[in-house]
Amino acid sequence: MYTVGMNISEQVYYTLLSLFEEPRHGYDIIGRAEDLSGGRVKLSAGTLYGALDRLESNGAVVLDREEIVNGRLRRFYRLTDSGAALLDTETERMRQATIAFKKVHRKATIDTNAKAAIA
Amino acid sequence: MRRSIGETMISAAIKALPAPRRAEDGRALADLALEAVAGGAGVGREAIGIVKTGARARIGDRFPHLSAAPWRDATWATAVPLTTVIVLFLIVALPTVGKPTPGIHHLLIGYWWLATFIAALLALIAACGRLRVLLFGSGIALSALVGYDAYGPGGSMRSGASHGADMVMPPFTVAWYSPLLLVVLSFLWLLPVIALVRPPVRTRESGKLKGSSLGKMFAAGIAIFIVFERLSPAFGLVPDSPLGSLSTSASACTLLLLIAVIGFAVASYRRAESQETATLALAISILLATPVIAWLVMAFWLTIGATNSVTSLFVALAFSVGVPLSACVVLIRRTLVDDAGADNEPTQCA
Repeated sequence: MYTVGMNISEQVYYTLLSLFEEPRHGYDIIGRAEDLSGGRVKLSAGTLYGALDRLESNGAVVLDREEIVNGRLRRFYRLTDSGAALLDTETERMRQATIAFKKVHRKATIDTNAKAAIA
Repeated sequence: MRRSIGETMISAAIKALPAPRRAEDGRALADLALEAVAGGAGVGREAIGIVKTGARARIGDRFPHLSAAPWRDATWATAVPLTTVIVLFLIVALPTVGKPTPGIHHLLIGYWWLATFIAALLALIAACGRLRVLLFGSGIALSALVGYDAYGPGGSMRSGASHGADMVMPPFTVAWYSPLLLVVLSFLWLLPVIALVRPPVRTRESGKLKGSSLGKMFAAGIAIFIVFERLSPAFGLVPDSPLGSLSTSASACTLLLLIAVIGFAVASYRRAESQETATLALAISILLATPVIAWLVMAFWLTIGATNSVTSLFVALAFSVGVPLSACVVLIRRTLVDDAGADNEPTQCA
């Protein structure tokens, strides 16, 4: 189950991120997640349903309202405080990972350049 | 009003959801999928996504602990019931194999059962205690013991266990007892194998084995297998082989020794400090694993009723090349793939 301090998949991350802005319905989440991820995350309805179901049971999102549009039922979901905290933690974890990568990468580049200079 | 193919497919896929969830969420999910299809998503992809989610929900509802656990924990959770079943079957078989009968052959049957039972108990202890190496060792020993006995001369434990199983199971299942047990055992030792090859392999350059070296090792492994198959009754299918007079237990010991060496080589690979040692250990593992896998496959093939040794040999060779080759591809791929974050697999409630 998703709790603060636990890694989440990219799909769940972008689902949460799209809800951070405002309550959205399923199809809107799919589109926003794709936009935010630069087209990388393409959620199917089934995947999104599973993710929202788990997030809802964990209290990270709640059902905001239901609407019928063109004869189709739309469920709007809203991010809770606990969901926002989960998103925060995950973002911080990725930020730390990026910092660590840059540090290692910079050191490796310096070492390579030094070796090349000696040679 | 007639429904489109897309609507029919989505409606059919929704049936994969458990009934209570279908009643609660079915319409919203179907409408969402249809909206996605109208927006350009593939109807097949959407239908498959719903079926997968439905299957996950069904499994999750029935086995909440298993489905909520990370993949590795879930495999361990399955190892415990698997080993319990094996131990129980062996206990069921005890009255038959323990029967005092004249002749040394039947005495050996008793020892054979005892060895299998000890291996099964060790596997159960290992599964409960999460001792990967012990589970690997006992699992592979069990596979070898049962595999050998399933088709070996006299069919000692096979007949004993089958008679035992006959007491509690319908007659038509008895014929499938040995092959099923063998399949279960194979799964049993595959679990720790997967766990064993995880972190150390990925941080090492796979011993820097080239494709041509791997090919030579497989070829050598197959050669070992063919030699054993022709000469030893433990491996072979030829009753009048030159070494046919050797006792079966001695041949089985050879096989177990071979397996033990493989286990040692795998363990050495994991702990190797240098690249050279790792390469050597990996080479030995692959070289020796090839004939053993071929033997196990052949044993299984014969157990399920194949009598044509040429077909058996063909299948065994195909598997003995395919399985280690696939394993190596996985090893190398995992090594080459950037390790960053690889151990931090996203935890999903599947």
